[in-house]
Amino acid sequence: MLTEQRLDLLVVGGGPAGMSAARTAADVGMRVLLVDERPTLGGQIYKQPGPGARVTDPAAADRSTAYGRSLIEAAQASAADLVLRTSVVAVEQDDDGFAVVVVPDGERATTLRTRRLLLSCGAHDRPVVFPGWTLPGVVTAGGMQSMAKSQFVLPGRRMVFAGSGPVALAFPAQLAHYGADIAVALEAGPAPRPGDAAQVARIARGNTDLLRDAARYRATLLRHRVPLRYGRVVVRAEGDGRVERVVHAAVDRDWRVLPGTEQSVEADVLCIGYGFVPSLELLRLAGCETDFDEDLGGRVARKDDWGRTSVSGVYAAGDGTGVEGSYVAIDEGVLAALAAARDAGVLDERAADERAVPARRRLRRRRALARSTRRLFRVGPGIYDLADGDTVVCRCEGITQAEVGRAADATDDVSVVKALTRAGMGPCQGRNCARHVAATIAKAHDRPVGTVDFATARMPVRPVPISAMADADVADPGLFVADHEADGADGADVAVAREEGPL
Amino acid sequence: MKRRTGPRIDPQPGVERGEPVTISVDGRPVASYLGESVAAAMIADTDDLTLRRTADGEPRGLFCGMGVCFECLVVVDGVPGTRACMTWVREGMQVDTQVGPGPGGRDPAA
Repeated sequence: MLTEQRLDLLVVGGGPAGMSAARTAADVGMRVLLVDERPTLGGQIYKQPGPGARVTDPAAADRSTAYGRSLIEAAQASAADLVLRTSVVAVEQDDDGFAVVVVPDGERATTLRTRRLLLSCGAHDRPVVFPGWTLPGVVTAGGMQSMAKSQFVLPGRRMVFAGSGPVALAFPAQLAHYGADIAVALEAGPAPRPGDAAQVARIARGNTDLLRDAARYRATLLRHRVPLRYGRVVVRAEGDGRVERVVHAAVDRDWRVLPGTEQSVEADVLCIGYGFVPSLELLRLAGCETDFDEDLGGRVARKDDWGRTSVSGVYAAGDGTGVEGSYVAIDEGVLAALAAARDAGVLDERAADERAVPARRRLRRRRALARSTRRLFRVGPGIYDLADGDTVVCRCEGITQAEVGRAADATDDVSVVKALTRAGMGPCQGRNCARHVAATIAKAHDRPVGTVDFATARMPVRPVPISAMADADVADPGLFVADHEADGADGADVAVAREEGPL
Repeated sequence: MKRRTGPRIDPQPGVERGEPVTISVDGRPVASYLGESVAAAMIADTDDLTLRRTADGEPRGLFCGMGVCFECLVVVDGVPGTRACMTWVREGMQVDTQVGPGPGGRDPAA
């Protein structure tokens, strides 16, 4: 199924950005293939029912599901090849573009060759490290939504929601609608002021979805008698082997906990939704430069206004490059595909410019809206200060805050902290702990967190079964080692990236 | 508020659960439906939210639910280190829980 021929464009990620990019590129005549590791297109935002669930009445679907489905159908109707259940584990430059190692589910690894690479890998929930965050029952908002919306399962009996930003209203409202018993919903940010609505309306004229949605979510919470409390964060989860209580407290404008404001509530599930962070590992593996913008998820891809990264032939679009939501992602996908077509000589400059006009117009409007609401959705630095010494920071390797803190006192080099502590060396590759480690280093050396880079990404970015590698046409077989040669691998028969030793 | 009696809730409008299937978890038959991940099937099966234990014995459960965190690793048809949240049930699937990197078995107290 996977092609032997060199592609014009390989798109990684089948969410809104990737789908629109693949369709746009195919429409102008490029030979394009899209891969995604999930079994359905649509990404995390347009979660589709799990494979095997039956859609009996497409017209009955909610607005988001229906819109997602229309994007999926448009991508399927295009000439782009769409391949699901396939993970990208490695990217290397070759003489005419890129060699990309992919592992189709249950099959052997194979190398795709492409002239250009468009990365639209999406985002995941911002990891927030606090005492008790490893207890069973602590679930991210994205994970909870995936369970409820596409698999129709709600873990636990009584839930606390803690989060911030647009999701802090949307998720608990949706979960209450599905039947969740929500003891309290905590929003870290300030309560909206009367002036906020007017400001949004003025800056983003004709673009009131956000206001309408916020009002709808508040009404839903009210209807389900879910208390919504502003200016409070989770400070710890407590329980013997699972969540039994959630302790929360009031915070100042920087989300620093105010002493004496702690309250405890009984619950067996704590849903965490402090926004999203870009999944940058493939971009970093390809050598793309990053910048820091906490409002867009922290570390973000550096790109021009067409989505060209700092590496020639690599394009980036969507929340995986900086979290701006699905509508921005769709238009960024269009622009990045047009840029690839223009750089390939498929479109001339004028044709690319002309085709980009509607997307650019929509992006301007969306971004004006985003700027106007930043006060409400800003992430406070206090969120990185919740761990105590015994709190596990690196979930994979079981490394505590005290251990990370000692290493951070000794050096401000994130790679050295990683080498000294093993934090970030497990199968998640630091996706859960990298930003907390960076924040710990920043604090120890009194530097802004944005000046501390994350540790280097390593191949494979997903653990790969040895069986998948045998006899495979792999770009660099030396990248993979059996787990008994690299202690710390979380799984027998699993290849892990060969780590460099302490620097 | 809708009342619910267990972890399974009504599908969204216009969608029905897939065909019922039976998988095995640590040798025990567990009822599930096509369209559920192994993680969803395990969570719906018992009140226990523990999906695995670390080598130190710490319980861990579903966390990211989207293939990022590797906290829900189980043994599926003999392959350890498989993400329960990214693996979709099928009839006769053999799931074993992990302790550390290998097969372990669910906490008998659970």
